[in-house]
Amino acid sequence: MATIALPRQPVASLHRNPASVWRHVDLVLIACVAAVSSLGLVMVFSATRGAEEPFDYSFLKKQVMFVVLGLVAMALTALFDYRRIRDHAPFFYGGSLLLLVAVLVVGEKRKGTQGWFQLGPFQLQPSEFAKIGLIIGLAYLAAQFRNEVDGRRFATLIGLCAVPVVLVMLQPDLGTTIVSAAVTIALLVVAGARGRHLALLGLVAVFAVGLVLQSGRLDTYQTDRLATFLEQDDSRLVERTSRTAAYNLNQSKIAIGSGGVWGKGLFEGNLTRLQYVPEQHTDFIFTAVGEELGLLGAGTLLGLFSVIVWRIWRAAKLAGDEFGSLLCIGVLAMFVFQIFQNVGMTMGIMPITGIPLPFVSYGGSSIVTSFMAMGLVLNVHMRRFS
Amino acid sequence: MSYDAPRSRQRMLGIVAVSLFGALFARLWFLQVMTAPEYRVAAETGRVRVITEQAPRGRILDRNGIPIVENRRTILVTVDWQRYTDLDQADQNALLAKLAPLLDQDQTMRTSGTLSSGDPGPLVAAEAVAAPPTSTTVPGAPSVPTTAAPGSVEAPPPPPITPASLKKRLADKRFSHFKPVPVAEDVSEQLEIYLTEHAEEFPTVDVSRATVRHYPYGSLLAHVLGYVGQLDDDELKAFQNEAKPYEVDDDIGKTGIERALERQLRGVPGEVRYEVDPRNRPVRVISREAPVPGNDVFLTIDINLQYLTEKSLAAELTRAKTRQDEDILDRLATFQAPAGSSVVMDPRNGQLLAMASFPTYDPAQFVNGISTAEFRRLADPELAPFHHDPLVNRTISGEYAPGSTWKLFSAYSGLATGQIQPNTVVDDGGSYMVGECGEGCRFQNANAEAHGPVDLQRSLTVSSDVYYYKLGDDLWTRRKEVGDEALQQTWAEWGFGEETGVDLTGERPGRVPTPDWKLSYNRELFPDDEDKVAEFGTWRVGDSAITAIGQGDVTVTPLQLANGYATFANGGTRYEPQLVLQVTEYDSAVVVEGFEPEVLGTVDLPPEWRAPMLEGFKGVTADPKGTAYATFEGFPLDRFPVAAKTGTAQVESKGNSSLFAAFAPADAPRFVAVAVLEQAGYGGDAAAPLVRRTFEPMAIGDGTLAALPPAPLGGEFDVTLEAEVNAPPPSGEAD
Repeated sequence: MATIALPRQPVASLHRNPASVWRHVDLVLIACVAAVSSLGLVMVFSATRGAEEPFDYSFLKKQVMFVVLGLVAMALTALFDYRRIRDHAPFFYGGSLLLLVAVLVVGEKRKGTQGWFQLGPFQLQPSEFAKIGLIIGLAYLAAQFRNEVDGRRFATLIGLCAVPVVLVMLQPDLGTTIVSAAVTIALLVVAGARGRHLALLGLVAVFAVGLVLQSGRLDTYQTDRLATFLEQDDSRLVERTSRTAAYNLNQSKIAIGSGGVWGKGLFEGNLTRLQYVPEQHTDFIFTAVGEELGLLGAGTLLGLFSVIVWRIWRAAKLAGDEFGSLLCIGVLAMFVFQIFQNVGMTMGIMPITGIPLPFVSYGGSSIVTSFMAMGLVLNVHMRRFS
Repeated sequence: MSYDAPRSRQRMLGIVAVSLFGALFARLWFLQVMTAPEYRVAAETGRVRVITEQAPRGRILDRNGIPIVENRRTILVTVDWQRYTDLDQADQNALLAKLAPLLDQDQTMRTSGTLSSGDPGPLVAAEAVAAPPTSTTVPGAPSVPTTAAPGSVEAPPPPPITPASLKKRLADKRFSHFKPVPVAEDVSEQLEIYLTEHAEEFPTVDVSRATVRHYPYGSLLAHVLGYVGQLDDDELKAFQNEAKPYEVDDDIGKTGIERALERQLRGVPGEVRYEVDPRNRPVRVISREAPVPGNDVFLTIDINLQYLTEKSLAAELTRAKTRQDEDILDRLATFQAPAGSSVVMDPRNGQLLAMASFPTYDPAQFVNGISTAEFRRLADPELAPFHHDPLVNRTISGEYAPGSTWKLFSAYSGLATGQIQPNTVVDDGGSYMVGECGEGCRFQNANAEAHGPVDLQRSLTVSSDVYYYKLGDDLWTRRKEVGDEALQQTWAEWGFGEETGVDLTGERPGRVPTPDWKLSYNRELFPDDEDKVAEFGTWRVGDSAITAIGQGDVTVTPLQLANGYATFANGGTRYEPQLVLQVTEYDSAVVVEGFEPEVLGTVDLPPEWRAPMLEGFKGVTADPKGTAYATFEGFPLDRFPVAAKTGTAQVESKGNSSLFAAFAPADAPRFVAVAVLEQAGYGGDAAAPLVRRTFEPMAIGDGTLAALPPAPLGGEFDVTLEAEVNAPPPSGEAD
C-alpha cells in the first residue's frame, strides 16, 4: 500500500457535517464483532489452559495479539475508500493468487496441507486472505457486467473463481474451496446470473462431486468424515470410535449436548477441560461454548452472529453502488457459510471440514481475515452517501 | 441499472441466511434441551473409568492359627494387548526388543540374589489389614517357585527372556486379551521404578502390583488347600453374586478348601473411579471404595502333624521302592510304590488332623497362571504313568480295596446278623473251601498260613481270612433268613459306598458291591451277550466270601476307612469328617461362622462285641502273633497303646496295596490314622511303619499334638534321610 489517505474532512467537523463518513460507522456491527471476539478469547483460553494449574496462557496471549492485529486490519480496511479498492481490484485479486502460488512452492506443510508460510513464530495461511481477494475480484467484475450476465460473462466469473479454487485445492484445503464456491454462487445469484446458467452450474457441480467421490482421489480421512456424517446415528459407529472423524463428531455432540440449557459453567466443562474434543480451540471451538455456556451462551453467540449477518445484509442493501453491494454480499456469503458449516459440523448437521468459526476459532490468519472482511463492510456502509 | 432482479435476489439470500441460522438454532435446541440428559450420561461415562481393585482372599490357617496360605504382593509387568496390536509391526518388534533385555537382566539378577523381588508392602487399605506381616513370611519370596516336593532336585535356572519368548507369551491363549497380559512376575522394585519413569519409551507396557497367594509351608497340605486360578465361564455363572461380584478372569478357588470355601475366602472387590483424559490417563480420583479382604478359614488340620505325616508317607514310599516284591518270583523286582495317602483324624469329633497324598504339587505354581506345559506335567492323562496324578487328593479320590482292614466291618456284619458270636471259633487250616464247587473254590489265607482255632478277637490279631471266608459263605448260604444283602446293609451303616461329605471337591463314594450292582455292571460289559452276563454277573457264594475279606469289588477311600475306624474307636458314633474349624473376619478374632461336629449316624456296638474286637486290634501291635507286632517293637505301647489292623490288598497285575488302620490310645482314642500305599507290599511292611512314625513323637511325649516338633517353614525335608532315620522295622507279616 503506497499512500495512506486520510478522510477528506478533519475529525473536528464530524458532528457538523451530515455527510461525514464517520457519522455512518455501523456501531451495532462493531459492537457485535467486539462481543463475539471477546467471547472467542475467553473460549480459546478455556479450551487451551489445561486441566490444572499452572494454566497455559500462551494461546490466549497469541489470540489477543491476533485480535488486536485484526482490529488494526479492520480499521485500515475501513479507512481506504472502497472505491479506491475497486480501482485496484485486479491488484488485490492477483496478489492473492501470487500468495497461493508461492505457498505451494515455499510453504510449510501441516497436517497434510501445503498451506502455510512460516514467518518467525507465526504461520500465515494465504488461503484465508485469498477469500478476500476473490470477493473483491468477483465483485469488481460482476459490477462491471451491470446485471447483464450472459453465458460468456457467466463463464468469465466462474473462471475467475476457478483459478484460486484450483490453487487452494492443490494444497489441498477443502474447507476454503467450499467457502469460495459458496461465495461465488451467492455473488452469481445476486449479480443477476440467469436461472438456466445457475441450473447448469448446479448440474455440473453435482456431476463433478459424484466424479470426485467415485474417483477415489479423496483421502481416507475425507471419506471417513463423509461416512461419519451420513451414519452418525448408527449405533455401531460408537464402537468404531477409533476412527478419528467419528470420535470427533461423537465427542463434540456429547460435549454440546451435556451442556444443556445453562451450561456447566466457564472452565467447568469436563470434556473441554480434559481436551476430549480434538481441535477444540480451532475448528471445534463451538463445542467449548456449548458445553460450558449451554444453550444460553451458544444461543447468544449464534444470535450475535445473526445480528452481524443482518448488518452485513443491510449494508449490502444500502450500498451506494453495485460494487459495494456485491462486496458486502460476498462477505455475507462467506460468513454465513462458514458459520453454518462450522457450527453445523460440531452438531452433526454438516460433514466435518476444516473451516474456522469467524472471530472465535484460534488462528491469526482466520481472525485477521474476518476483521478485514468486516472492514470492507464498514467501509461500504459508512460511505454509502459519499 | 435494473435493480429489480438483484433486490429480490438479495432478499432471497437473506432468506437463505435466516433459514440456515434457524437450522443451527433448531439443532442446538435438539442437542441441549431435548436430548441433553443422554449426552450428560455419555459425558460422565466417557470420562470416568472404574478400576476394580481385587480384594485379597482370606487366609487359611491351621487349628492353632498358623497361617498356611497367606497373601503376598507381587509386581507384574503387563502389556495391554488391545493397544499393543494397534502398534505397527515395527513398533511392536522394537518394543519387545527393548523390553526383553530389561526383564531378562532383572530375572538374572533376582536369580543370583543381586536384586530381590521383595514384598513391596501391603496393598489394601491399612485398616483392612491392620496386623503387621508375621515373621513367618519368607523374605524375598523366590520368583521361580522352588518345588518343595520331596526328593526334587533344585529348580533349574529360569529360561532367559527374549523378544521371541515375550511374543510367545503375549500370544498364549491362557491370558485373556481383554486384560493386560502379564509378561513378567515378581520383578524387582528397581525395575518397577525404571519402567514407571520411562513409561513413554514403553508404550502399552504397564507395571502393576497384585496380591497373590503365598504358601509359607510350600507344598504342604497342597491337596487340601487346593489352588486358585482364573474363573471360567461356567464358574462365573455358578458363582456370580451381588455381595462379592466377579469379573471375567477374576481368581477363583479351583480345588480343595480354596474351592469349597470360595464364598468365605473371596473378598469384596474395591472400586476406584478415576476421571481420565482422552488418552485414558487418570487425571484424578473421583471416589474410592476400599476392597474388603475375604474371611480367614481355620482348618482342623494341625500343620505339625501334617508335616510329619507327609514326611512319613514320602519316606515309607521311598523305602518300599527298595524292597523286593516277593509275589514276583521269576525276576528280581522291587515295589513301584508310586503313590499313597494317609489320614489322621480325631475320633471324638470327626476332625481331620492331617491329610497327606503323594505325589504332591506346589500350589505356588498356579500363582499368576500356570503354563500349559507345566500343567500337562501335572495333569495330562496320557502322562499319568509318569506323574501319577499329583493333583489328585488320594485321601478322598483314591478308591482302594481295603484288604484285611475290612475285617472290622465284616466282623460287625457277623455279629449284627447273629451269624457269629464273639466266642465263635473257626478252625483255620490255612484255606477254606467255599460252597460246593470243589478245589477251584478253595480260598487261601495269605501265604496259606494256618492259624489253628481262632475266635473273633484272634481272627483280627492274626488276620485270619478263613474266619471271614466262612462268615461270607454262611451269610450267603443263609440269605433266605438274613437277606441277600446282609453284608452290604451292615457295611453301609459305617458309611461305605457313599461320600463322607467332607468340605472338599472331588470326593469319591467307593463301592460296596451288591448282587444288583454286579449284574448291571456285567450288563454294561457285555451288552449283547446274555450268557456272559449270566456267567459273570451272577452273585455267587464266592463273591460274599471274597468281599468279606475286603477283596473282590469292594473299594473304599482312605477317608472312609479312617472314618469307619473312628466310628469304632469312639464307640459307634459316625461323624461327618470335619475340616473347617471356624471362619473369622480377615486377621481378626471375630468369628463369622463356627463349625460343630455333625453326627451322620450311629453303629450299635455293645461292649460284649466291641471289647473282644478292641482286644483283637490291640493284639495286632502287641501280640507276638499280631500282623504289625514287629513294626511296633520298641514303641511305648504301654503308655500309648495302638489298636490297629493291617491290610494287604491284591491288585490285578500290580504290586499289593499296603494298608494300615489304627487308633490310639486304644482305650481312650484321640487319634485315628489310616495309611494306604500303592504297590508297596504287605500292610505291616509300609503302611504300619508310616503310622508308627506319625504316632511315635506323641507317644514318646505327652500323647498330644503339642508333643510334635514344629513344622519348618517351606515344609521341606530330605526324603532319603528320612527313609533311613527312625525307620520302624517292617513287620514282614502277611495278612
